[in-house]
Amino acid sequence: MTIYRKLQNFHFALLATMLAIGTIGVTMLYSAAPNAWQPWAGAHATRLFVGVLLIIVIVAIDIKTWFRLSYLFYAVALLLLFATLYAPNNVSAKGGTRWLDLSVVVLQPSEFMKVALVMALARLANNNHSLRARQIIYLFAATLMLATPVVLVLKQPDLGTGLILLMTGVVALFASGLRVVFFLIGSTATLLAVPVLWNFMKPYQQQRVVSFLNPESDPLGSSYHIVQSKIALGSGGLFGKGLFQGTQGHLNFLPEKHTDFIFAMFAEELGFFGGSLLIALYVLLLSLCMGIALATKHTFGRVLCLGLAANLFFYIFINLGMVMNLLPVVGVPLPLVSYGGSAMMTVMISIGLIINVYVHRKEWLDRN
Amino acid sequence: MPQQDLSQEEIFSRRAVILGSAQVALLTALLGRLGWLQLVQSSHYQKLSERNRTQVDLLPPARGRIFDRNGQELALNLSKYNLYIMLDRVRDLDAMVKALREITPLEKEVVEEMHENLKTSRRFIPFAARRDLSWAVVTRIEARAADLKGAKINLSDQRIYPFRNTLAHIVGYVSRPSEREITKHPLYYLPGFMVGKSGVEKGYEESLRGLGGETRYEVNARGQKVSEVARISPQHGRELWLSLDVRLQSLIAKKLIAEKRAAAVVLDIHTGEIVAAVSTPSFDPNLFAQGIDRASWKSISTNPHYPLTNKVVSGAYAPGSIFKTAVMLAALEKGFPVSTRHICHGRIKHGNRWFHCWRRGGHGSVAMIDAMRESCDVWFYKVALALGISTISKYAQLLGYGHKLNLDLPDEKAGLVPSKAWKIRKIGRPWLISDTLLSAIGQGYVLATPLQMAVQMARIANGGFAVEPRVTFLPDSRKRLFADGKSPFRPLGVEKSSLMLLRAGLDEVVNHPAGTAYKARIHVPARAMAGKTGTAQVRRISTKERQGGIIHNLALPWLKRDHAMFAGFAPVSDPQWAAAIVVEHGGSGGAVAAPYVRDFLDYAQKIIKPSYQRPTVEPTEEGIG
Repeated sequence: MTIYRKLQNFHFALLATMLAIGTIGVTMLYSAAPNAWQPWAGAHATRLFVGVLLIIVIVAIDIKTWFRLSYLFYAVALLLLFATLYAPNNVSAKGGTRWLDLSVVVLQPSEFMKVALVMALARLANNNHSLRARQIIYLFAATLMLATPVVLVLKQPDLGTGLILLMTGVVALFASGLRVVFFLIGSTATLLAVPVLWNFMKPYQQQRVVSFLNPESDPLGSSYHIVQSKIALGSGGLFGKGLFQGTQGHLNFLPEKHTDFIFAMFAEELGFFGGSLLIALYVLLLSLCMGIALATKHTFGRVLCLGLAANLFFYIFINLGMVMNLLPVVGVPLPLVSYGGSAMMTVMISIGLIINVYVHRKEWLDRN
Repeated sequence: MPQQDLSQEEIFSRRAVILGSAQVALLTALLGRLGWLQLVQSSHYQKLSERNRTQVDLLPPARGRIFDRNGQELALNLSKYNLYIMLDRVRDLDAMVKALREITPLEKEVVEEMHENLKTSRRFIPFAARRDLSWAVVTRIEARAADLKGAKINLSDQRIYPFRNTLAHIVGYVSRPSEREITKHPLYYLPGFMVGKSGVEKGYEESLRGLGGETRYEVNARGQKVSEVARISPQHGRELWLSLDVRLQSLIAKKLIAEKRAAAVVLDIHTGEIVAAVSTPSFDPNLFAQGIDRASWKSISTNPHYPLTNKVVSGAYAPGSIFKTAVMLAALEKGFPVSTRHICHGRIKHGNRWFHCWRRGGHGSVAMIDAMRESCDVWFYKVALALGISTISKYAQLLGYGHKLNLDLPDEKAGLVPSKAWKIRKIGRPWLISDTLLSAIGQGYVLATPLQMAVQMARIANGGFAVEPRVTFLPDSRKRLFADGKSPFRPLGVEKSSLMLLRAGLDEVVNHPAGTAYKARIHVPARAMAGKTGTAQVRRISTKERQGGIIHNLALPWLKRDHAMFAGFAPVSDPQWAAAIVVEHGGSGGAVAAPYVRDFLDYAQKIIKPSYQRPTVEPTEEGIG
């Protein structure tokens, strides 16, 4: 396929939706600064621009190359996760070791792993899609592939990312056609494992779950975030307090307003009107990914699409649910809006790969 | 394509749709939640956001000043710098006290009290550690504000009562709101904010207080003020003008210093405006307004003569012979002729019990006016037997006994006019004839306040109108009626002739040589006073004692001596003022109480002008005087 053909096949609607959401992010980061390009809005805009270039590069590379590199990427990501935990040159912050200092760049390997895991599971599914008899072996391989990074991320400890990784992997397996009975067994086992997991959690994580269940019990403690977030949302009303006019954000009542709680600030300033517009944009983004998956002829592309879209969805859903006090406070950013390089990079790579699948949707991929 | 792939494709499509629908459904649920928060609960969160964002500093109103009828200031405000400690915000009280002591002395008791308050809920009330600071001390404390967290200099109004003890019971005093009160008004939380606790300071609290203003600031999450959003100026309290005349008040207070416990009141018979009301002993209301120290509080609260009680309105005494005035009115209204005669042998027997007259030898044959003049108990016993208690009660009530008189001061007592039903209900025993006999001479169950005794005289002297007492001026709209010789008060519905005869009797009590208060008469005829003496027993005289000779009053311990009482009005010819006094354990009403009232009424006539146009007096009434 020539570059010209690829450009003809390029999914501009998806890119435009992504840029629209990213622009909302730039605007809100400008408001959060407050009202300045420094330190967040300018960098965010630059990353969006670089991201578009990255997407073009990813799309330009043939899907067969990505297909072949899947296991390698997975192996590298796994290695980096090990290194994060056990290498001497890791960086600790906020009671967890999530970054790896490679002297050139500080990486967050768990971000990289999200993409690599979906790619590896997609390739595994592609190779096994026609062999129903081999499902047990496939299940075993897939479970191992999924469980190893999840356990490593949980050990960092990063509960939020670990769970998202797990759920993303489960969706990828579901998309690949694994029999429903296995999911039933799996979810039953998970339910039974909850009490065990509770003991496995750090006290601050347990506290977060408790404060999620009853946020008003401790307004200046760990649930301060939730209470202030609800006040920001609720006081926004239908049309909001006006762009750059939010008091909860501008007077610093809202914590983490440039990262995890950016949606609260957005909906405070632009109200239900703005909030529902952003949610609609996310629905559009996800629908476009679904459409691509349905149009794709090969299992690798389908699973990759649905897996990466599911990953995006989990970020969106958990972040919004947390901000609206439907879910506990786990440090999960809002894709394309929250400030943060690693997360942004992951999203860009994901979208690049999804558009790549779209461009190569009619290719035939065999086992190698 | 192989067959298997087709079914694989179907499975995939189905699952893709399931996943897509699930995601859209979940995001729609979030949209619902967003709508719930932003549309349904919006007003609630807007309030919370506003509360987050703004800090309101209350601006206290200045309390209204209080004046007497001549414009003399009775209560005023002085701005003073005070040091308050917000105990709940202090990290280390001892360290703070140490730091403060380098600047200004703090008494040991004050520090101890702070430590005690710190343990109770009083720690939330700003504690006044030191008052009336000099400017030098203020600047030094403010310079060290950073290490004196919880210490606050507050410029607040100090209430000043220039007449001190003289007006304590009428004007009352202000003080910090109590723990119970503090939640009732947002202003009460302000350090240094005072609330009326007694007297007109309490009775007229709302009007004297005024309305608080406020300044609204925008604050950030650290509580730093970002900008001023709005300012509402306070509405200062209204001035209050009392009908009191501080000159008469001072004269009475000075004279009554000689007595341990006494209460006196002088009022205008037409308007009910009180011109003086003194209760002895008194206290200095400034002590409360400054925040009373423990020693002063202990000495006031444990004083056996109850300085905090306003005995004029709260002291309920057996009115003794003063009550005979009501019995006489009842007799006249029931058609007893003024010539009704009874022989007094000094006592009568009822059942197997003797009822004595105060004159042991008896008065001999006495008619109505004689009985009044010489306070013959036997005559009243006999008339009371004929009248019955319900008739006596009815007329006593008409004259103001047995119920509150709508005075604009707190703590007014109703006194007691007994009835058959009352005794059954309260004591559980039937009414006896002997109860009627005792009631007739104002003993037994009858109780009255000095104010009621004075009001009784006013109602007789003003031509039979149900005047009610007050410490502020009667509104002009109501006074206008006086110009036409009418009264704004309802008529009692008694005969003019009865009132004339009553006044004649009260006149003779004072101005007839045989009257019980003759020695206390005013010699100038134009200012002559009329009235009734009362000497109320506070103990029972036993039969044995009567046989052995009654012990002289002065030989008794003070607490067992009789109460001396007098109630009257003046001038007899054209009455204007009524007055009453109770000198607890003072002895004889004629000898002790009447001379006081003479002095008060004489002085009132000489110096006080009524606050309205005087009614024209019917010429026939003048003839009687």
